[in-house]
Amino acid sequence: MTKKKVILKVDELEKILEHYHRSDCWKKTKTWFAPFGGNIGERAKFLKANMYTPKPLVAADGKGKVAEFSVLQGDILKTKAAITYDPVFDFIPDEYSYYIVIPSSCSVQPKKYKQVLLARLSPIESTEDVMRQAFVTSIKFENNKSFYLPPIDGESPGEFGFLAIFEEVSHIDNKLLQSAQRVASLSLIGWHLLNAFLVNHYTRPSADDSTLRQLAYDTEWSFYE
Amino acid sequence: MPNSLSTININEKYNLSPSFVVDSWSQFTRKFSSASSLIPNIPVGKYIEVKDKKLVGDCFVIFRRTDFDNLNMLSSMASKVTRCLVQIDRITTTFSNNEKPEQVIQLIHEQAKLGIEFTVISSSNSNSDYFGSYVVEEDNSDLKMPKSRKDIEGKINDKEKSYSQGR
Repeated sequence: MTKKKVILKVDELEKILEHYHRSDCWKKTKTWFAPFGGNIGERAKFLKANMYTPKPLVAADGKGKVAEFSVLQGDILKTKAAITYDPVFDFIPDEYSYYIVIPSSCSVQPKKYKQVLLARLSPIESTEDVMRQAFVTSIKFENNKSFYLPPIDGESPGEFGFLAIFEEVSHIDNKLLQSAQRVASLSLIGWHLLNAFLVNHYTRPSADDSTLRQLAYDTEWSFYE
Repeated sequence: MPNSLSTININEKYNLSPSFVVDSWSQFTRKFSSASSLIPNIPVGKYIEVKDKKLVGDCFVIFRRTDFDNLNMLSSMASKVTRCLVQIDRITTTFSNNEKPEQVIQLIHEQAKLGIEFTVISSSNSNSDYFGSYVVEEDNSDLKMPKSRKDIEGKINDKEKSYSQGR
């Protein structure tokens, strides 16, 4: 068996992800990952190496340029205080579960939003069970219902990582959020990947929407001062 | 390469069977010029398999709305069969022999991922009871899955990263 060495330039991925707010970013990101092909293990390994910061971020990491905070967008929480409606995969509400913070970092600071939107992380403990398909499609960026997150250092659940589930709704009271245990923060690549996913998930353009909403706009608008 | 996984799963769970198999995209387009001509000719719950090598056995499956709703109750199947969100009352797709099949399929895939999904139209079916769906199925035969957490952990510090691809 001969082995072909594949080289991927991560700085090219970073440049793609800088434009995460663009509607084509997700597609370009998927294209960048295409050389991984069906090598799911290597995809997971790459994401594990690049998704998280070494430890949850604190204000001191900003070297004086960042104000105090207790939680950031993309932080992974371990809590019993969040509420999940109609979970897609198995879920025990009374036990600690993992969640990712969805709104922007400024929105999740104290006294901003009353309730904060989360996505529950469903641990992937096997690659053979019913999660296999969701795992494979998510890590290949072909699933807009779930976002793959690699295993978290120091946390035993999630042998093969987690799926952030966007088919269900989870939220937490902001007061409780501020005291929730943070187990990981996203790196710049991880944070951009999450936002590229969110743009694709929430605001992807729809030709049908455009067709339905098209109006005969006047070319000018006039009014008297 | 037949799209065996989706075929087997659908058959096992819902006792669906192929209406027929075509060997190429051109054969498919000879038989169906558009989505609207597709629906009336395929019995509910049947599917067409296009065995063109470029399409890797892509299937078109026709469901009644009620069948489709039942199908979506199973998340494992729902991930295989993309939701058809638009009722069959608008014509959006015309099949053409001149179109490159892989481009058409890519378009269908992209639409599926965008949540719009492939809309099969029946102009002759005014009660809109039929939905069209397109089976999006991975060819899992060459997937290299991690065996444990150890296969995922490990860091490479270079800005330029590489991995070995077994062949």
